[in-house]
Amino acid sequence: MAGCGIDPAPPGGVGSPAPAYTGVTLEGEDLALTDLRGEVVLLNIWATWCPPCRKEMPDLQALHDRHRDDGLRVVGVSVDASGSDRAVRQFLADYGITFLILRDPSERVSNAFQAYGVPLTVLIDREGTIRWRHSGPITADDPALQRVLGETLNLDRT
Amino acid sequence: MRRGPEGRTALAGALLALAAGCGLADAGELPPPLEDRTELESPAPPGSGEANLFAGADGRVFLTWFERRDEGGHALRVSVLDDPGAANGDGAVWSSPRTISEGEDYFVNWADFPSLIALDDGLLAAHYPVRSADGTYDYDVYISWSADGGATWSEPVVPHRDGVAAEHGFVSLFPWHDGSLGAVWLDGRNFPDPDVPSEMTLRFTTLTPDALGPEQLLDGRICDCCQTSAAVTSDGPIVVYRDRSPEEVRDISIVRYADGAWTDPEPVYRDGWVIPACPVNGPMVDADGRRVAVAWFTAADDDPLVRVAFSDDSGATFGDAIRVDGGTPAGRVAVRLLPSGDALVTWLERAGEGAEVRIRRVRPDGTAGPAETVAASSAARASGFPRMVRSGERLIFAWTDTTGEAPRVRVATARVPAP
Repeated sequence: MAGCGIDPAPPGGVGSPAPAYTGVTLEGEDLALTDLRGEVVLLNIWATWCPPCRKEMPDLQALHDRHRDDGLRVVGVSVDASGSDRAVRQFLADYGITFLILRDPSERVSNAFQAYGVPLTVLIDREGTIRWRHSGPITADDPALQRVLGETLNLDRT
Repeated sequence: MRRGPEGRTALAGALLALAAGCGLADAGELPPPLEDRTELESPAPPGSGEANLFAGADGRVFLTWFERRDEGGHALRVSVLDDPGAANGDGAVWSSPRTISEGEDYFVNWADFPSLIALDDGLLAAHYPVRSADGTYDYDVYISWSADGGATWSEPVVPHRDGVAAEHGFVSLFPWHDGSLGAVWLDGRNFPDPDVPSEMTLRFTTLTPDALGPEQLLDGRICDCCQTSAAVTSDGPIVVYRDRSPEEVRDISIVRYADGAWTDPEPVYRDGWVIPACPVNGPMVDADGRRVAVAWFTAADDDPLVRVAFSDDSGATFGDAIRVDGGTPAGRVAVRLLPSGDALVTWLERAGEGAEVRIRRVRPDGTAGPAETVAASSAARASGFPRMVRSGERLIFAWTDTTGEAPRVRVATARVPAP
């Protein structure tokens, strides 16, 4: 591909190291993915205007509630436009969301993870490797997600 | 030309050779896509966005945009470039902006933006999204008319008559054969009904300042949030849009008005892009007689591409898809046919931390000229959808610049080199 003058496929795929990425919390503080090294991170790129994103929010919250103590960190990155913080906060209140939310109006996260639509969810293991990637709404009981959660969180599977 | 979406043309050998290599259009002997690119003084102030362009048959170019009002809310504005042929940087002046509509209830967003069309009798029609209820995505299509060149505008009409608080948008306006206005839109009237599948639909109607035609369902399940695009061939109007299969394949489909009826949806090209998510990246179509060009973004197998396909039978069949991007496209395409039969395609290409609005000239046989940059931009949604129209030998571009303290619509012009 490089011989065609096309850039090689960027990172963001399963098996590749998670791209370097830093988002901003709703409180205005920077948070880098590397700050979460050692935890399993379920990174979800979403927006308030996206119907499938609204559909999956309860499932993301359920995963946060279910596995927080197992070392899972659910991180939702909102790519809503600048000036949307109030709408984002209202959305989170309406859906009862308590997991970590980052704001990224310039959509650096979409560029970093090559998200061609929203929502996009990736699971990053404790060493920073992407182990699962899904376009579209997730369900908390998705078998593939459950399997990789079991592996990365070292859950008792008996 | 080509027969069916996956067949091969008489130039199959050349195209296959391209496909076996990079899959890109061959940089043959075509000239660069533009010359004398010149930025024009924008009539839109800081705080503007959601720009759109329309080139009338008389050569005039209309620019519409939303701008924030000091007192709150927004105003939908229009400005006209009377003589794009003189728009070489000297004396090219947009008219003083006029207000189409203003208030506090617009659904102003980066992807579903207003449009304006001039009909042959001089009537102007403009559409814009207006909130209809308290739900975040409850909004209607409003259409206003002007009989005096945009100086004054009528009270709006709503072309859809479902009365449901739901999403109605992503409109395309086009002239209808009887002199009226044709309109297609994405219609979410089924969303609130628990007994009906929550499918986004594509619907159509005609209207004049005094009457509304019947509504018609064109497709019962399409992508929720991608722009539609319409053009008029010598055989009738055509509409392209991002479809949605039961398996969540979201490729580009076309419907055609032929022999007094709309056809069933047919694929323009089978990318096979499975994405149960919102690409927010619709196609665009242009037509000249029976010649048609459709450009679109796809990312099947996580491989982002911008493609264009040509038809010489008013969209009944298309040739092979020709890739035009540089490897890291973000999509947001525009396309215009040239009298020579070539097409100019613009798209947003990711470049480092930002993006560029790029343009490329492509021939139906797959040859293409070099890509050139029209403007620096951003891949963030706030940068919106760059627009392009052609008026004679002139190209007019509009895009949203987000690098300043406030976003602002910017405009530029260029000349199309002779082939």
